[in-house]
Amino acid sequence: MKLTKKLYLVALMLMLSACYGTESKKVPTIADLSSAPAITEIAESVSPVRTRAIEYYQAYLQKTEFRTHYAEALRRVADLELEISELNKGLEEDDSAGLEIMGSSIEHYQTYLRTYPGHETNDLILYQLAKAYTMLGEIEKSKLIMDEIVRDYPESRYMDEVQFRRGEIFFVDRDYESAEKSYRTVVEKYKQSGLYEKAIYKLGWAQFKLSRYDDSIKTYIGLLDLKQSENKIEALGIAENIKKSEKEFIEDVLRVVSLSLSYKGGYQNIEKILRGKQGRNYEPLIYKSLAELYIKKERYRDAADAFLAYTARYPMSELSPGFHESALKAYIDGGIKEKVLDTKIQYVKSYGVRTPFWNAHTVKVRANLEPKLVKHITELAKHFHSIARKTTKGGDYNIAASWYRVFLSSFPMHNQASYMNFLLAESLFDARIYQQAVIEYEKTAYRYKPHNKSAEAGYAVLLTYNEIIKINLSQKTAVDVSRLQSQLLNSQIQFSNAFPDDKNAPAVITKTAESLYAARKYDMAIDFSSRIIMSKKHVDKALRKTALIVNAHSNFELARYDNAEKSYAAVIASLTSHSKADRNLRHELTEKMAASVYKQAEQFKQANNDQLAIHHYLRVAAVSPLSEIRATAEFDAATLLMKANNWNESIKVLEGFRKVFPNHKEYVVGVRTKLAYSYKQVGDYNKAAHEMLALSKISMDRKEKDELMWEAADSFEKAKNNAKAIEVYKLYVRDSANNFTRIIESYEKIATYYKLAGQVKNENVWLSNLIKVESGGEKRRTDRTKFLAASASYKLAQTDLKLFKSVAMVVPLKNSLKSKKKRMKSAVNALKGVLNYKVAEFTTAATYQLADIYSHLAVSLMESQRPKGLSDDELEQYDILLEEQAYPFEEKSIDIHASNIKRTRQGLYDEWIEKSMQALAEIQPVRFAKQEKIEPYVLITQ
Amino acid sequence: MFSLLNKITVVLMLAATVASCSMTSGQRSAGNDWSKVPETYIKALTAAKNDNDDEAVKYLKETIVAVPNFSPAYTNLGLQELSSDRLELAEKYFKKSIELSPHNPVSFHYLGVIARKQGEFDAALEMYRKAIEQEPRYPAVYRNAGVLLDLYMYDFPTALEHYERYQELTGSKDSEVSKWIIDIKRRIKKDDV
Repeated sequence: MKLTKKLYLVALMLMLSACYGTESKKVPTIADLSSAPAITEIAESVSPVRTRAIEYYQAYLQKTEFRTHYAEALRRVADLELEISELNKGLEEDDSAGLEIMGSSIEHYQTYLRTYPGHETNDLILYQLAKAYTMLGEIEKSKLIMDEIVRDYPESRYMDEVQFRRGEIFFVDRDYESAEKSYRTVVEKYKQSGLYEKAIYKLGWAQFKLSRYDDSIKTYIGLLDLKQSENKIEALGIAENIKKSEKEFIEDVLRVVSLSLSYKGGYQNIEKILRGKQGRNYEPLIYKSLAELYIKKERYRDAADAFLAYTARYPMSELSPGFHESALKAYIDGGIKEKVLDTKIQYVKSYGVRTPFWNAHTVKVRANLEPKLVKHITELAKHFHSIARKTTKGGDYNIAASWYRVFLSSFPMHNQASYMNFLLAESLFDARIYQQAVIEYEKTAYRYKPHNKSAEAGYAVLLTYNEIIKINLSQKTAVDVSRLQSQLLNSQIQFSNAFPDDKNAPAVITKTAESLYAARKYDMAIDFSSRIIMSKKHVDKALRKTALIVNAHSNFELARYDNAEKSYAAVIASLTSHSKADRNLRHELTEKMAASVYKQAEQFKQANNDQLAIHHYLRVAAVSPLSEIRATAEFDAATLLMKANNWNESIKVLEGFRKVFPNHKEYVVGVRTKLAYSYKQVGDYNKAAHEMLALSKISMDRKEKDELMWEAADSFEKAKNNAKAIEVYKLYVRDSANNFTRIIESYEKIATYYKLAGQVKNENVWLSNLIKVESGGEKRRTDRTKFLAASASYKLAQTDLKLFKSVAMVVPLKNSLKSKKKRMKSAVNALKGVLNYKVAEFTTAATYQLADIYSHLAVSLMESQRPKGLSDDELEQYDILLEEQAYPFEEKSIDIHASNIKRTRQGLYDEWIEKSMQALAEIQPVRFAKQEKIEPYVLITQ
Repeated sequence: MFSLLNKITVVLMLAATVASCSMTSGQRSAGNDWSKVPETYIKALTAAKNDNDDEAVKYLKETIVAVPNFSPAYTNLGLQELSSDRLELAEKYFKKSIELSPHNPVSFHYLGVIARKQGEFDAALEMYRKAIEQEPRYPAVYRNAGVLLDLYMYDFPTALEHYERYQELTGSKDSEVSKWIIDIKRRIKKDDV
C-alpha cells in the first residue's frame, strides 16, 4: 500500500470511528500528517458473537419471505461487517478475509441504497459507505459519496463530520482553499461539534498553507481564546492538570502561530496582532513559542530578541526572569558572546535584590530567582575580575569589586558569600586598595562560619598589612605606622588563635611571638612562642629556633631567668657550628644565657638566700667560661662568700678569677682588695700586705695610695715581716702627704725596728727626725704626734741621762763635777724638752727622772771619791762641805717629786708618780710612807 | 670531818687570833653563824690564819665549787688575790661576793683599795663611802680612806677626820697613825696643800 493511501485510511478510520462514539486514542496533528508514519492499531479479536450475528443476518436476508425487516437487516449486516473490518484492521493486501468482509459491507450498503433510494436516513448509509471506501483506500469514491451527502442532505446530522472529512481530503490533496471552506463550515456552523476545535485548528493550517498568515494567526488566537476560556491556559502557561494530548494540541497551535509570526515580522508583530487582547494568558506563550521556533531554526539572536521583547513589555511579569534567562541561553547557544555579558548585567539589574521587581514579588518568586542571580552575579564578578587581572587597571578591579559587593549585599547569608567576600578582598588587593582589602579579608576570615578560605583570608590580612606598612615606610607618609603595626599584631594574634592547624600557622605564630616581644608584651610573647616550642607537630627548625629565642628573651625581660636559661640552652643546642651566622648567634645567646644564670643569682641575693646566689654566680663560668659576665658573677660570688665569712672559698674564687682574667680592667682592683681582706681574715697577712702594696701602686688617688701603703706596712708587721714593713713605712714617709700622724707613726715604727735590731744610731737618727718633722707639723700636729714626739724625746733623753749617770765623781772632784754638770745640763734640757710636750705619760716619767737627776747628783756628791791624805777633821769638814753642796740638790729633788705626786690632784696616777711617792717615802717616811692596810682574811659567814 | 662542836671551837680560836691582829674581825664575827658554813671554808680560814695562802686559796675554790653562792668565800678569795697584787682577779671576786650578798662592807672596802691602786681615786672614795655606810664601825676603811684623801687627793682635813675616827675605833693603838695625825695637822696649819 502506498503511504498516501495509508494516511487517508487512518484519518478516515479515526473520523468515522468517532461517529460511533469509539474513542480516539490520539488526535492526529499536522505533524502527524506531514511527517509521522501511519499508526496501525493492533486489531481487537472479533467477538464470535458478532461473527455469528453476521451469519445470522446473512441467513436472514437470504430468506426472502421475511421482507418486513429486510432493510434493517441489510444495514445491520453492513454495519457489522464494517465494524469487524475496523476491528481487525485487516486492511493489508494479503488480508483477503478482511477485504472480503469490507467488500461485503460495501455491497450490502449499495444494495440498501438501491433497494431504498431517497430514504430520508440514507445520509447515514452514505456516510457508512464513504467510510467503507475510505477503509478500502477508495478515497475518490468516498469523497464523491460525501459530496452527495453535502448536496442531498444539507441538514444531515453528520454534516460536521462529513465537512471535516472532506476538508481533510482537500487538505491532503493540497486543495487548501476547498479544505478551508470545509473546515470553515464546521467552524461557523457547528460550534457544538466535537470536531469544532479540530476544524479551527485545521482551518488555521489551511490558511497558513495559503500563506494567509494574518488569517491563520487570527484563527489560532481565537482557538487560544477558547482554551483560555476553558482555563486550559493560565497566567503562567498551559495548565498543568489537562491531558497531555490537550497540552500538546495547544503547543501545536502555538507553534503554528509562531510559524506564522516568523513570516509576518516576528515578535514585533505580536503586539499588533494582540491589540485589544493584551494581557491574555497565552501572550507570553506566543513570545516563547516564537522564540523557541527561532532556536530550532538556529536564529538565536531573534529568539533572544523575542524573549527580551516580552520582558521589555512586561518587566514586572513573573515570567520575565525566565524569559530573560532563555534569552541569555539563546545568546550563549548561538555563540553571540557580545550579548551574553550585557544580558546577564541586565538580568541582575532587572530582577536583583531590592529592584522593583524583587520588591514586588513573593518570597517564593524570590527563592526561585536567587540561584540564577547568584549564578549571574558570580559569573559577572569573576568575569570582570578576570579582565582586571589582564588589564591590571584599578578601574577594572573596582568593577569586579562592585559585583562582589552586589553579591554580598544581596545574599549575605548565602553559602558562597564567604568565598565571594574572599574574591572581593582579592580584587581590592589586586587593585592595591589595601585598606579596604584588609577589611574584606578580615570579614572573610572571621565573620563567617569556618570555610575553606577562612585561613587563607586570615593570612592575606597579614600580607596586606605588611604591604600597607611597607608602602607607608617607603613613601614616608604621614600615616602612623606604629598603629598599623599594632593592627597587624592584633591580626596575627587573631589568626594564630583561629587557625592553629593552618599550614601558615607556625610561621604566623612565630612572627606573632616576635612582634609581641618587640611590643614588650612579654607574657603574650611567651604564650605564643610556647605554642611553637611545645607543638607536637613537625615545626620548621628555623621557626622553632626563633620561637625559642623569643621565649628566652621574653622570660628574661620578665625576670623569669630560670625559664630564660632553659630556652637559651635549647636554642643553643640546636645551633650548628657550620655557619658564621650560627656561630655569632651562639656567642650572643651564650652571653644571654650566662646573664640569665647571673640574674638568678641576683634574685637569690635579693631574697637574702646567699648560698643559692653563690651557687648560681659560680655556675656562670660553666655556661660561658669567657663571658664578660662571668667576671662579674665570680666577683659577686666572692663578695657573698666574704659576707658569709667563707674566706677560704672567697680566696679560691678570687685567685681563680685572676688566673682567668689576669688583666681584667674593671675588677683588677676589686679582686686585689677582696683578696687582701680575705687573706687578712685567714691570717695570711703577708699575702694581704702584698695585695695592698700592689693596690697602692695602681691607685691614682693619693689618699687611697697612702691608706693602702699604710695597711700594707701594718700587715707586713703582723706577718712579722719586719724588713718589708720598714721598707713600706719608709715609702710612706717618703711619698705620703696626707696623714701627718701616720707619717710620725712611721718614723716611730722605723726607730723601734732599729732599736730591736740593736742599731741605736739608726734608731736615734729616726727619733731625731721624728721630733724634727713633728715640730714642723704646725696645725697638722695632733695629740698622737705630740705623744710620739714626746716618746722620742724621752727615749733620746734616756741616753743623756745614762751619760750623766755614768760620770764617776772622782778626784779631782772639780773636773768630775764639771763633766757631771755638763752631762746633767744636757739630760735636764732633754727631759725639759719632754716636759714641753705636756704629755702626761712622759711628763710624770720625765719629772721623776728630773728629780732623780738631782737626787743622783746629791748622792754622787756624798759618795764621791775623797781626796787622799785628809785628816779625820779635814775629812769631817770635807763631808760637811759635801753635805752642804748636796743638800740643795736633795731639796730640789724632793720638790720635783712632790710636784710629780701632786699630779694625782688632776687625776693623774702612774708608775712614775708612784715611784716619786716611794722616793719621797724614803726621804720623808712619816709624810709619804703610808700604805693601805689589807687584812689577810676576814671571818664572815654572810 | 669536823663535828659542830669542833667547828665552833675552831672558829672561836680563829676569832680570838684574828682579833689580836685585826681590828675588824672581832666586831663582825659576833653576828656570824658558823654552824652552816662549808667545812672547806673553815679549813681555808685556818690555812689563811697560818699564812698558808696556797692552801687557803685551794679550800676557798673548793668552797665556791661546792657552794657557788657562798659570798664570804669570794670575799676571802679577793683578799688572797689582792695580797698577791692580782688586782683584776681580786676585783672580780669582790664584785661576785657583792652580787651574792649586797651588804658587804669588806668587799666594798677592798674594791676601794683596788681602785686607788689603779689611780681611780674618786671611785675608790665612793667604795670606801659605801663600806662605811654599811659598816660605820669598820676601822680599816677609815684608815685606808685617810691615806687616799691624804696622799692622793690632798684633802688633808677630811683625811685627818678619817685618821682620828680610825684611832677612835681602835682605841688610838696605832702609833704610826698618831704620827700621821701630827704631821697632817702641821700641814693643815701651814696650809701646805
